[in-house]
Amino acid sequence: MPEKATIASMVARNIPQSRFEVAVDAAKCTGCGSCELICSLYHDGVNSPSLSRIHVVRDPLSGENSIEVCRQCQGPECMQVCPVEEAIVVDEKTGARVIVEEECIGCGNCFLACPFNVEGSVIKHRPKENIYAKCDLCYRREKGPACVEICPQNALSYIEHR
Amino acid sequence: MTYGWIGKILRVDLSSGKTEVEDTSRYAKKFIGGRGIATAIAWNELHPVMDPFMPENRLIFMTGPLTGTLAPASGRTVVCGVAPQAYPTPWFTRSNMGGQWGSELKYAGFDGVIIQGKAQNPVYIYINDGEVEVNDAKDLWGLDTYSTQRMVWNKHSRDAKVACIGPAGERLARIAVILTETESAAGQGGFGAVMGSKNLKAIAVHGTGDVKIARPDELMELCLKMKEEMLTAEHIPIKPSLNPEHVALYGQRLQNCSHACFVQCPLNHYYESVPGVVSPTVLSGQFHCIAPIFPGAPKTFYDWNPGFRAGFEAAVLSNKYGINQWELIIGTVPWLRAMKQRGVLTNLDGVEINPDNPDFWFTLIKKIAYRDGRLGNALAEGGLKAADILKIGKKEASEFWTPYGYTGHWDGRGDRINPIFFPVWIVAAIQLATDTRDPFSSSHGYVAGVSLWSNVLKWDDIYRIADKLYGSDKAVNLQTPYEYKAQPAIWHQHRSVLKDSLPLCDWAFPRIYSLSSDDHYVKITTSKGTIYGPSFEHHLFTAVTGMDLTQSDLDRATERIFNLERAIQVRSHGRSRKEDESVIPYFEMTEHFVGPTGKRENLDRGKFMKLMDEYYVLRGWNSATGRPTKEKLAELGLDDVSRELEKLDLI
Repeated sequence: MPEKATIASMVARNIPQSRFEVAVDAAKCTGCGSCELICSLYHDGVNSPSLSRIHVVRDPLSGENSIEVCRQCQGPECMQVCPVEEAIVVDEKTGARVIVEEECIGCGNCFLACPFNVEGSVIKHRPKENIYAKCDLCYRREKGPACVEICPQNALSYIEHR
Repeated sequence: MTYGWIGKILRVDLSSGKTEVEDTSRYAKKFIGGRGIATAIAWNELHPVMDPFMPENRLIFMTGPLTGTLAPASGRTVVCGVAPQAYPTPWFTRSNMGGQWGSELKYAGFDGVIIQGKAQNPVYIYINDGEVEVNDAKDLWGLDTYSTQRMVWNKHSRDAKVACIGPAGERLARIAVILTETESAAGQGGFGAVMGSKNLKAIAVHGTGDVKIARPDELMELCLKMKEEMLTAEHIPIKPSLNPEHVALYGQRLQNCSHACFVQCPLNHYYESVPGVVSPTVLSGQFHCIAPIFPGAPKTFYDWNPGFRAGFEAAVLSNKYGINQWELIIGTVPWLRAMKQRGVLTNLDGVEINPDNPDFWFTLIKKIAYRDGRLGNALAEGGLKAADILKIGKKEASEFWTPYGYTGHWDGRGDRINPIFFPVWIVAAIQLATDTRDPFSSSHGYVAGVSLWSNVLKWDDIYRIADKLYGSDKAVNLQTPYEYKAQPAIWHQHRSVLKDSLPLCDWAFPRIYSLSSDDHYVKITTSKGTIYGPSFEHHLFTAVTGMDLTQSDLDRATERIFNLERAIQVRSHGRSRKEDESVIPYFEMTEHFVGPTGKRENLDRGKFMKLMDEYYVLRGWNSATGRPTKEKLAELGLDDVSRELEKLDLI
């Protein structure tokens, strides 16, 4: 488990505006997991829900499905607590808050600071490389987030930041 | 085994408590996965003939190269072994289930699990990222399937996926299922009872690993295009199964069955909370396939009416106790009702046989699950065996059960709900004759496809597509009922093997007809060009595995698997054409639905025998014995199988 962020690293930066986000309508979710599978396929070239940057919480017995994904906050605490300047950057086109794998030192400050990171499902720890990963809105992808494109229920949408 | 497959198969011997790991690559190239690999294991290990409840019987859970990937509706697991439901002789067959269990098994590091032996006391297996525990199941034994899953979650992880049995499996009911989630079940075969005979309550899996993909970009493109196609073109036109009035009262929720399913399918609509009649709680569940018949279907053969809530609860209870719903609705209940009508049997130990009465349903389900009393004990054996034991209702039973011990399904007889008509069921007759179980839950393709699409498309369109797909429009032509039927039967038998070996959902594949495509034939356009529906499986397979197999290589593998299944039948049971022909009297009964000919038809034995001749010849089997020939087995790379059959003088 990472240690708590130090005060020194919490100095606010001048962070560019958020522009887009993946919005979730959990009532439409069937829990099929296609979003998780395409996410890991696009980013990592494998199929693995545990590597996915979007997380489906599924209870097949009660049917209470929900989806956890980064909200691309306007004042992202993950960025404010990151001690490495180039480890979380903002993509100009989409405004996505992007963790740069090569720069991440695995301190876990972002993991702890994110107020929506229930059970580590928004910012995920990757123990193998000891780095953290989260949704980057597939900012390199022409058609936008792959999860939104694959979702058969329209439970996900790519919208302007609210 | 770099891509698709994980590369390891786990073997657990419950007698000794020992586990071993085997290499999947030993089987993968020749037998793909799922049903194919399980069949190869059965050939190697399930001999000589054995009783399903002997510790030596194997219970084989097998995924395939596509399980756990983004391939549409791929989250499936095949379950194989010597099946207690088969009548009169239990023999090797397969079943399969959806849910996410199979995907999770692969993420946990295994392509499959072979269970052998028998634990001294009830146990459950927990597989967590390659670590395997065989744990005491004292506190799980006796629980229903839903409680078992919750209990395992409490013990381990909420993310674990659990396949388990209910009281019916514990008591070796031959119609007991293995279930995961609310209704994803390996239903046909009675494998829940095999699990019970091994004192195995559940297998829970939890994994954080991955499935490696040879060509990620290609798989992604294929899946996105297929999703588009699957959302605009129904595979088989089926109506939503939830009643809007009941939805208004009890709510609905969404829940997929197969992992990675993006088919727009009514199966993912569940009632949310229906107050129980006998259960002191609200119940939630899927209400599709046969389940909506529990409360009865007015104006059909199944016109009983215990009320919606009681019918729904009966369906949920059969899942919780772990009983095969198809068997109850198409077999047990109609059979009991027929015997009541004919005055042969009037009550179940004091409770009147009356499907209009909720108590009848609850009594029946509990009696079967707990083998309660003489009747419960007999009914738990499955309909045909029950008739033997009770020495009543044999004639009535033959109206609902097919010769191998399974109730009718898409054949126009025992199953009186699925609207199949002459001559579509001629192909059903060939498929059933040469199989080891009811083939149609993994082979809806022809029987349901032609029957249902003929309501939506013009026959001319169906003829044109058949000409392209099977090589002649006679495969479906209403004017040529007894011509060119062996060809589509074989095509669909092989596609059923492929689907069960990758494995994929039967409601999603193979993709043939479409409303949105200009010529009503499913197709997508990718950067590689146009891909037609029937080759979707091949494209998914090569994108995932990177294996350089052509469509005909893959077809050859499915033919190999089908022949090996037949060889197991020949070696263990002397299976021959004679047994195949035992389905003829069933199809000589008059069909239930009036088709385009305008009258009810039945099978013409002489013409059908000619079709069967053609079938064996096309298969390269001996048409007198119905057994694979040396030449065919050699051609398929099964010389070792051929030699063994030769030693036994069975070839």
